[in-house]
Amino acid sequence: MANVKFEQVTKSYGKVQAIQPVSFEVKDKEFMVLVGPSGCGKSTLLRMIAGLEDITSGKISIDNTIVNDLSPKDRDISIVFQNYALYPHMTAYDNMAFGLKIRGLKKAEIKEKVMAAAKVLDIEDLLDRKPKAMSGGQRQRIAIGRAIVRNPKVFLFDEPLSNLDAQLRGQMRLEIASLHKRLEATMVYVTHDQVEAMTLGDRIIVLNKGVIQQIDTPQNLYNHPANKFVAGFIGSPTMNFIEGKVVDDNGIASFISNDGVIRIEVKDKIRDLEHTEVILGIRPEHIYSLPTNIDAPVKFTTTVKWTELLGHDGFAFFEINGVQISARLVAEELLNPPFERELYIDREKIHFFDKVSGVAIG
Amino acid sequence: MVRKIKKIGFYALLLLAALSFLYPFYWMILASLTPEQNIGTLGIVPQGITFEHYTGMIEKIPIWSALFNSVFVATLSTFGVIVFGSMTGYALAKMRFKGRNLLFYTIIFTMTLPFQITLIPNYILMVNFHWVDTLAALVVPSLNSAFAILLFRQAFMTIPDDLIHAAKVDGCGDLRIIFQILWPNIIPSIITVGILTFMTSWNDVLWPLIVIREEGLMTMPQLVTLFAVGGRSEAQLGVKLASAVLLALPIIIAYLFLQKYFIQSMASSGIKS
Ligand SMILES: Nc1ncnc2c1ncn2[C@@H]1O[C@H](COP(=O)(O)OP(=O)(O)OP(=O)(O)O)[C@@H](O)[C@H]1O
Ligand SMILES: [Mg+2]
Repeated sequence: MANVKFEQVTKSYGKVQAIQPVSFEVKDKEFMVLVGPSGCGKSTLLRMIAGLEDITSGKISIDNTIVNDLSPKDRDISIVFQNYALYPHMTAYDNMAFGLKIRGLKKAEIKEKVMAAAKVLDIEDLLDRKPKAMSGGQRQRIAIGRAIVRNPKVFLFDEPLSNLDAQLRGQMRLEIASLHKRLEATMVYVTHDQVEAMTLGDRIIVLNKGVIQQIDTPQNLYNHPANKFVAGFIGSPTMNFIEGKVVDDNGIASFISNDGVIRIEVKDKIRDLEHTEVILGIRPEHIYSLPTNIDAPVKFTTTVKWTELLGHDGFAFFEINGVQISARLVAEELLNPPFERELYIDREKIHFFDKVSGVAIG
Repeated sequence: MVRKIKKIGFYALLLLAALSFLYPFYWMILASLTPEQNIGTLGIVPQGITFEHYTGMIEKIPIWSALFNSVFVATLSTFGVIVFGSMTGYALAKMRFKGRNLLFYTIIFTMTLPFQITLIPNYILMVNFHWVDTLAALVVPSLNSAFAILLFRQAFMTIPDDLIHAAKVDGCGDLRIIFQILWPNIIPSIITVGILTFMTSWNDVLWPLIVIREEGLMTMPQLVTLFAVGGRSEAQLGVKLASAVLLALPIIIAYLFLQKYFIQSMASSGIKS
């Protein structure tokens, strides 16, 4: 098992720079998740670790050895793809055994390893089947089996669950998590599903347009997003953004939304930003219908235009600055819109971002 | 009722068409087994059976060595076209390098050149290589073909990159990827290329006529053509027909075995995007 290190790595396709210089380290035995919107370069980054994509500049090392010039087979990695990429003409057994055969292992040894992996993944009764005769979930198990039989230094996953239905995805997610515990392996996992990212990752790299936005634990990304992009990307449903200004409100440094509906006293660094335009971020789950159980409630009044019920709770939608804002409230609060009501923001849970750069303030 | 009549009429028409195609074959085979003096009046009914045309042919021309040469040349060039064609097709479909598209279009362009234009330059090349009157002149120039490259490229394009990536991570080099991973998944294309290449090579007369003059190195169609047209048969129709049967036989046998793929290859011409 081993670490993976990127030092100032870039990638260009012709004139298009898909990856700006990136540096990070995936520690030994760490489960690192790469998230970002479609086309941000996640797969490119993963394929560069695998050696399936040349790097334009920089250094990549695995287990403290520079692998820039090593071919995929010499990097001791394995990879699981979104569309499984099983060899269609081989049985599940042969799919898993193929890499071992090429590496010249003895038949008995191969069998032992394949059977062991099959047992872990509960696919023993599928081994004689060809991929065509299996369901998506079964195929992905075989593909994971193919990855673990070789016991590589690093496991790579490129959106392995996104072709599966929601229920199966949840189940496989748990299995991958337990696989990581059991194998104590270094894993790099690409996904655009932030639930997967939050639940699986020891740490998460948030990528946008080939630039790393933040690398941190799931909790820190949620509680302390480094910029507006991360704040909006992590958390579901997405964070609300309210534009406004920091002003002196009768001797109290305050944030006031452009339409004047929200007035919040500000502290620390934000105070120094008097007269500057900033963006306030507040998650839907941090807007409440009652001031109880909140340390620092801030009241405002608005008209809830419509609601969405999800059983136990749901969402109220209203407008601030003419922009749609959502709040997560219990179901009883959401009946018969539209209606006027008072809502409370928890001042401890708000974020501020620079209006121009989007960088978090305070 | 009307539909039934229509159907019967349709099948009758098909039958008629099939017979009009089959009759010449039938007649050729029958005539090659009929005594010379009866061939002129031969219809559908056999008029005596004899093998003298075949024995005559074997005595007069080196038909066995021609058969061997033909099989040798056609097999080797078919093998070459499948191997080298898929290698080139793979590079054009799945490898990234400068000038890839230019190369591909150049190869496509050569398909539009009629054979007659390249005939003389190719001949001069053979002369300079000292390959005239050797089987190399028949085999080497047909070890790859633009058509096969195009067909293999199209077939490989339909295979997802990730399959190749998976194979690379498993430890395959490019050759192993082509022959062990990709080939089993494009068998219809391989058979299509194989059949068409074999037929083209087997039926080729013009090129062998130009580069081969020694009887022992001639291919079947070349020899049969010389024999039939060139007057070596001493104007015996039966012997000419016997050699024609021998020429057609391998293709007919191959057709019977590979019928399914043959029709498939003709129907699609193998080109889909
Ligand atoms: N072979 C290529 N040639 C040119 N550009 C490419 C190539 N492969 C990827 N790109 C570009 O590089 C960028 C990153 O692509 P990549 O596949 O890594 O995105 P991704 O984050 O994996 O997206 P997705 O979530 O859709 O899979 C994209 O803008 C893409 O268009
Ligand atoms: Mg991707």
